[in-house]
Amino acid sequence: MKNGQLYLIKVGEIALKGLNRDFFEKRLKGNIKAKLRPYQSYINTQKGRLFLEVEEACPPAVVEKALSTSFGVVGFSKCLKVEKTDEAIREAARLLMQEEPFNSGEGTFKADSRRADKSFHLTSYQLDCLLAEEVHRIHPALTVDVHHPQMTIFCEIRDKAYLYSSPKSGLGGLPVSTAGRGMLLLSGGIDSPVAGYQMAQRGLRMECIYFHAYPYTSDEALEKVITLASLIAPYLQGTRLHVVPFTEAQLHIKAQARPEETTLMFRAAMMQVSNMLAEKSEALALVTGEALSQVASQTVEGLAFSDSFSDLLVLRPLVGLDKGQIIETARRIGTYETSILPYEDCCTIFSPKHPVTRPHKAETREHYEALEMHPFLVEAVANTKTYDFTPLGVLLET
Amino acid sequence: MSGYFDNAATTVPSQAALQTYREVALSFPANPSSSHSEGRKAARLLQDLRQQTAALLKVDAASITFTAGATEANGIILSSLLWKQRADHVLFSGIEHSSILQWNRLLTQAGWDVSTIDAPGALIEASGVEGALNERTRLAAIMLVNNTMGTIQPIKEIVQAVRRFERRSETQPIHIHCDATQALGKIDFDLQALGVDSASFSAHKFHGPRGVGILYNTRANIEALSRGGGQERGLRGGTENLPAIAAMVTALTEAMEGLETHRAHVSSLNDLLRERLKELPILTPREQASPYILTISMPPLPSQVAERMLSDAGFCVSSGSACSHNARQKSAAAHNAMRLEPRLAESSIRISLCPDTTIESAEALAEAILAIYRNHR
Repeated sequence: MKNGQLYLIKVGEIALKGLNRDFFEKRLKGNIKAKLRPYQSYINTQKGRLFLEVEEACPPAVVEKALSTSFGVVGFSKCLKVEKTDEAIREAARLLMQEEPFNSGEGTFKADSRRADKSFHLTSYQLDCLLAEEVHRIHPALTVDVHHPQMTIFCEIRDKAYLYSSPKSGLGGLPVSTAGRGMLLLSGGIDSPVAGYQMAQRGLRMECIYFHAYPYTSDEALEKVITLASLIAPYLQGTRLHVVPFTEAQLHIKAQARPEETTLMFRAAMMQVSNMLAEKSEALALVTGEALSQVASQTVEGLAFSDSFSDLLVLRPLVGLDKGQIIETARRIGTYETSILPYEDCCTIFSPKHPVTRPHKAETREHYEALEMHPFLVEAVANTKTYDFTPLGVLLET
Repeated sequence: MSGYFDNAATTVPSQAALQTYREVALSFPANPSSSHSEGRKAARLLQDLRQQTAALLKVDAASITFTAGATEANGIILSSLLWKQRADHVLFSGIEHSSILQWNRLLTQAGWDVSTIDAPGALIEASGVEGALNERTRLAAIMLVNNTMGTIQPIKEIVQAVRRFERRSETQPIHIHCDATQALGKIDFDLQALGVDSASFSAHKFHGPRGVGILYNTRANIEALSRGGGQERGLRGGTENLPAIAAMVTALTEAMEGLETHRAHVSSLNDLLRERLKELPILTPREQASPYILTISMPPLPSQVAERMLSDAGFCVSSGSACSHNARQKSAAAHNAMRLEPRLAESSIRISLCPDTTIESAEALAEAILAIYRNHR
């Protein structure tokens, strides 16, 4: 690729993988390339590093978004690739001095060289000195601090010389789609987007499910969930959102169920619908944002009850977390502000005043069976509407 | 728009008002501040319009300032407090529109003591106002017709109570500001007889255009909110919105001329709705309320759900004040001040009428409300 932009990517956990490493690396490369499309890109691997070349036309912000939202990337930096000559290396160092963070011309720095090609005529130490000399020539006010530098200029001697400065951090974790497929129950609250993020971090690919009870919940609430799906989509490497029309099922439950058990009945019905959708999508697990004892239905008994309606594994990555920790992640991944918009995701007429918190599983299951929900659920699945989001989170027109 | 029952939020502009707008926009294109002949022509029209407005309100033309609406008029009065040398005390009724209540924060920040008083049943009591005054009180803001419930406040008694307090404690005169937005062109009142010092109005509530309104003010030491060319005797900088002001005067003339006829029609609609909806909790009292606003409650349905269902059935009503949509706490604060039962407040729906509302559409609305209510009871 002529005149392409070059990025150096550090991978973390993947590098520790044994015989599977190829599989993880291949997936990561595929994920990054998918985010950069339609721009052309090419990625090659060199000893624990990926070198990404992207066509010049691609805005750097797009590359940064792609790399900073892809699990498996530990750090990345725009990188210069030059001939292995002293003069070319000096020239590249001078170019780096014009860019952040060196362009401020103030503070402390360090040069950090590494030779994969041991035949290079300078030792790492000599190369460090050469770089420091060049740094000083441009920015005389910068001082060396090898222990706690504010900025670092790196040089790696491989097939060519690669120079870059302080890398940006990536998310770590494992590339999405290396751990199978799941369905995320997305509610519009603070927790479920975080749950999706956490499972994506371990490589799970996910589609999302939202239960919409219009007119008891508003179209604004649906819009909010669509926004949340688009916000987490880059972490999920793209996703689909299944919007299940749930009004009829809820009304039936409200009319027929014991009032104090309505929430449990909703949960059971949602589990069954999610299993039906998962089967269609060939997913092997459900993911929820439930945390133990957070609300009346999230007791051990309540969770065990709803679990009993799922043939699939139910993953609850937040189960042992404190609300404060969940909020912290929600803020970091940018979903918090949307999650707290004041659109209720469940109408108060469906919320019992005194819900059962410790259901007896067998007995409550019998009550659920008596509701004969099946036809309502089949209908709901049949009328489910699906929205698709690209790996960078753009909602595709349907 | 036969299903439109949200006239307290905004009304449909009248044909005559729109025609005036068009004519004035085309025939008086110049800036009233310009000295050329076209400018002077526009300035003369502006002066005429001010005279006409004053005549319709039975006040002196010098007390009329044209603004961008009641929100701005309220802002001019309340922001003037910030220019006083000393931060003292102001009194708001707890059921004021958010364009008054929102000043609480800024005034408090500037060191003012702000009290809000409750209005049980959405009616402000004169004794309550009197009891909340103190020697440092500089201003009291009391609305004429409450926007969420339609209740008419006993302004005259309140003014008397305030004046009584002034005499008794020999304080400086207390400025009484009255937001009369929901009253003008709908109920009969006389600003001078009421004895308020200032009042605010919006044209779009009486079939005039949006973005234009009136500040009535008789007090000195009022400062402009927007500054600039010294228009409106320095009280409201910015080129006068001549076509909109003219259209407003046309709409106001129509409203005032038809006041009794319109009120009779709207009252009969109000009676009809009360009769048809008698199985629901009706929150607006029959006495001491504008016939234009009827607030009911549809428990257990949350207001917004009921509003949505009615909207899908072709009826526009309001859950709380449209001005504080997305800010449920604010209408909750007003509901608290009214000491409304939360169960009823959370399910309240405001129906607001206009002279063009037909009996058939009111009947159809009642049917739709009953169907939804019975289905969820």
